[in-house]
Amino acid sequence: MRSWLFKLLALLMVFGLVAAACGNDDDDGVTTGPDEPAPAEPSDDGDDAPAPADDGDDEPAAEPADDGEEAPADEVMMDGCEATVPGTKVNYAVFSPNANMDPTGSSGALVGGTQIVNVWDVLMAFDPAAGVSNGQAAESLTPNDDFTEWTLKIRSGITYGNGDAFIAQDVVDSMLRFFDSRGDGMNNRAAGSVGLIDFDNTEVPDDSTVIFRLHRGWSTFHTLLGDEPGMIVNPRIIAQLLDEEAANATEETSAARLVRNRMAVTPDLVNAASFGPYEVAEVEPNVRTVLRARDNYWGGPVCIEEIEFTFPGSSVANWEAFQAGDFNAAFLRDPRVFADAREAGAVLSSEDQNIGGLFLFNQGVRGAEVIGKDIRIRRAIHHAINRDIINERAFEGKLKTTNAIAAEGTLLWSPELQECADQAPSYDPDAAAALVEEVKADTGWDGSMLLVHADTDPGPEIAQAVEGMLEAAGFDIEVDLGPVTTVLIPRVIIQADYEMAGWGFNADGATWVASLNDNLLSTSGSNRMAFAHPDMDAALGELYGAANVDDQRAAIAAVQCVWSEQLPAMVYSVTEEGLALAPNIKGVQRAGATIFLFGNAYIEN
Amino acid sequence: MLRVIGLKLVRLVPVLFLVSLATFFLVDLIPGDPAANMLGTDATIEDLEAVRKSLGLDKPITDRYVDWLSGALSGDLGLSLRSPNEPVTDLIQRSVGPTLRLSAMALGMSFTIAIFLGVWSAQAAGTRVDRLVSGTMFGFISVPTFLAGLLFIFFFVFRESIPRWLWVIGMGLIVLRLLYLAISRLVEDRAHFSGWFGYAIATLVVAGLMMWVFVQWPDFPRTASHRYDDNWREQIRSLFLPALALALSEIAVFTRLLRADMLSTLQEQFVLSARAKGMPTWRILFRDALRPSSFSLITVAGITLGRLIGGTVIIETIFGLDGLGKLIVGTGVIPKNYTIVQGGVLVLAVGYVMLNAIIDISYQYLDPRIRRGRV
Repeated sequence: MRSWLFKLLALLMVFGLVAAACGNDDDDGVTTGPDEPAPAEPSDDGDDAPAPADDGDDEPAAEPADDGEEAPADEVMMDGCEATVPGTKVNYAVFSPNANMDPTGSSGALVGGTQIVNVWDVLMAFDPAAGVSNGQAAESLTPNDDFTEWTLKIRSGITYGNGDAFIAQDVVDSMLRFFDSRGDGMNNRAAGSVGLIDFDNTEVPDDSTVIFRLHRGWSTFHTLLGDEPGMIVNPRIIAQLLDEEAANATEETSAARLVRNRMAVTPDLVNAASFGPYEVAEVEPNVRTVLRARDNYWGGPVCIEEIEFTFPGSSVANWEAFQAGDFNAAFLRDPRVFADAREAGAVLSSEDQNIGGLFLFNQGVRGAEVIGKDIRIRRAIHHAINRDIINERAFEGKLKTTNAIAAEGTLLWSPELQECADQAPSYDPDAAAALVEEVKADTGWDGSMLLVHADTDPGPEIAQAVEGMLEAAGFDIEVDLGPVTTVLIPRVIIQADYEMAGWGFNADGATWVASLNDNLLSTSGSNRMAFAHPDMDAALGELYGAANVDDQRAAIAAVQCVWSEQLPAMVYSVTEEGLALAPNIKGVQRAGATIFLFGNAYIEN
Repeated sequence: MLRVIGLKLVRLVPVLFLVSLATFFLVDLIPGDPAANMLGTDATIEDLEAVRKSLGLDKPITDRYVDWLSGALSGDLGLSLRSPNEPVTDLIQRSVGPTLRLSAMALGMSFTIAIFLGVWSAQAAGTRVDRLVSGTMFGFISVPTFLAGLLFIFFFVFRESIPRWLWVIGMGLIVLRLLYLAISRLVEDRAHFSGWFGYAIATLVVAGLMMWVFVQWPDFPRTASHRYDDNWREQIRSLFLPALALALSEIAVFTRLLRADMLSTLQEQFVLSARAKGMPTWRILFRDALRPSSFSLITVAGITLGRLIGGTVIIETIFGLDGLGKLIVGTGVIPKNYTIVQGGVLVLAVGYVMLNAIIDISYQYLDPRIRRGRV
């Protein structure tokens, strides 16, 4: 009896193990959303050739919207719905949670940009593939010949959540608020760009027109109106809140900050002051945001009833949670994750951010005597570092490496630019070692150098690979690894105590001008390297005035030529960023590299 | 009871003062800058200085501590240094719920499984079952919590057929064992109805449970986010894996503790007397022997709950749950957001002392000798 029973148990165990090994093969694959098979359709990603710009590049980059009709001219909308569909929901895994729904209190872009744009809407929506902006809450935006004056016409009939009419003066007041928030708000990049508007001479001739006058010609000014400054906050509500908070303001905490803090935790205020496709239903700053479709959206019915933004913890966690069906939209930002997502056939809407992987060289910030001032050292580093080794050791060979500030495949790349990029020193360890020896002999420098790098995955592997290559060339590298906010920012920005630092400019079609000027212009307060060269300043000036995509390509190529000659920093890769979407979500509009509009989106079936 | 709690709270005052003092100065030693955390990489040095001043970070550390302490004494734990500068009490209130639920679930799982295994193991001391349970428990203790979390994600979320079939095999073995006992009793003495019928019923119940769980096997989410807060079933589903990961080592500790205490209790005279009187084994184990064997278990469980409330940061991070651990470490310690660290530590310390007071009080109910001694 006993032996019979043991035999039976053994047989059952074998059967169970075989069944477990064979069971449910579907789980071994990857699905792109709940209950949906992996789609076979091609992805919309950076590997594809960029959408060619119109041949008629003489037209200004900002394109007027079709007309002043209330319904948007988008075929997707026609296919979407006639009213909000109850029970439809997008669970969106964010790159990082949003701190504040107020555009001046949010970092914007990939840290809250999508959450806020769907509540406030935006004046112009940037099309990254074409490099142009289309009217959203604005009807048209027309520049003069030298791009110093831009005439904005806003759509008529738009009302805020509290019933106030949206008028042209609101645009100026809202942007002035952005301008005033510099140094006190969260969005200093956008606040700095607003500073190019000459508010004293900007006019509002009637309730639907603003004539912006700029301190200098800026051909891509339209991108600013597609960014956080283009999200209009009802200034009458802000004025009322400022009055209320005036009594609570102290020397340390301005009334403006108190208003921002109130907006962060009070959905009703945000909903009253906004006119976007969604309202805030629930908000926990820095944790999650729940948006619900606005009943009376000026652009017609909003199909998807609810969007919930939460933060699983990392790009890898986002992708895993997306595969598991927890989310039907997930923001991704890691080349290894993108490779997995492509392999799984996920529907992707992504873009390569240029100058995403970069090493800054301290060239004497605040008068410091550092070895990076010597161009031979910057040249030696270029010779010593092999981008492919970084790729293999840190990114499993899945990183898109490049030596150009505009990588091949992105909108502003050109053969001329690549020719200039190729003139920069390439991998040649012998040449690197010779240069290091030469500098040591000339200056008495002992080869020591401090490399600062973020410890976020795969930062340690990048730093280790670079350390090895540089030491092989005769450098003596000390590595300081740590979180961005506790090591990188204090070392690079506050103390300027570094010689080489892992960084990224992340320049896309909408942010090229601001990004390069902030980081490379000799007079910029955000120039972390103390790099200063008149040729670069001149080339950056040309970029401001480039009239169309062809001119922008030529201007960027000129910047690249100076870069390759002066070597202010070393580019090694682009950073791909974007959204993985369940295949049944349609009509999501990319309004920038990292901002997605859901006003016209719908869920199929 | 109130007197005991009151005394505990009075003793807590100097402890809290020392803890807050030490925490404050230790946090100050960590490199970093809350202003950098607020402004990010786009900031200029002027922006950072302005924000630092507005947050009061330009004041000497002693002034900041005194400011914080005077606020705390009046019930104000201050504002978070992270935008949008919410009150620390609001942040703690918001994040303590998920952590409490997670910890309570982990503790509940640990208790349920450990009581069953500990009692069974003690009753079957020295047998193959005891050795199997002991070996498994040593295995559980050896698995770090983070690894358990990752393994559970891999198996329960992405390879769910494996645990599902392992469940069938494990429960199947129990069913077969019960069936074997039922049949053998039936063969031995068909007339003794109660001898085999109980095992037959148990076989059916366990087999039914096995099939029901197999069929109803839930899709476990990869993340345990707040979005499940509105629905308790969804909460249980989303917290199951992180709670199980936390419970794994606790199950092992509790089982070993209970087994040891139970073994000595089973040698007591009153147990022998109960056996001699012919009391059913289950009654002796669960009604007579378990209560006096559970002192160590309850003491350790109280300490464990206190530890879990503040120490679940790794599991919270892995499963994307915004709980108290993640708040104190991720939002507090790393960016030097000292108001959150101070507030969090204060709440944890009070919670810890209260829990231990409750455990002290519970002894009176568990052991009549203590109760009568006090009276």
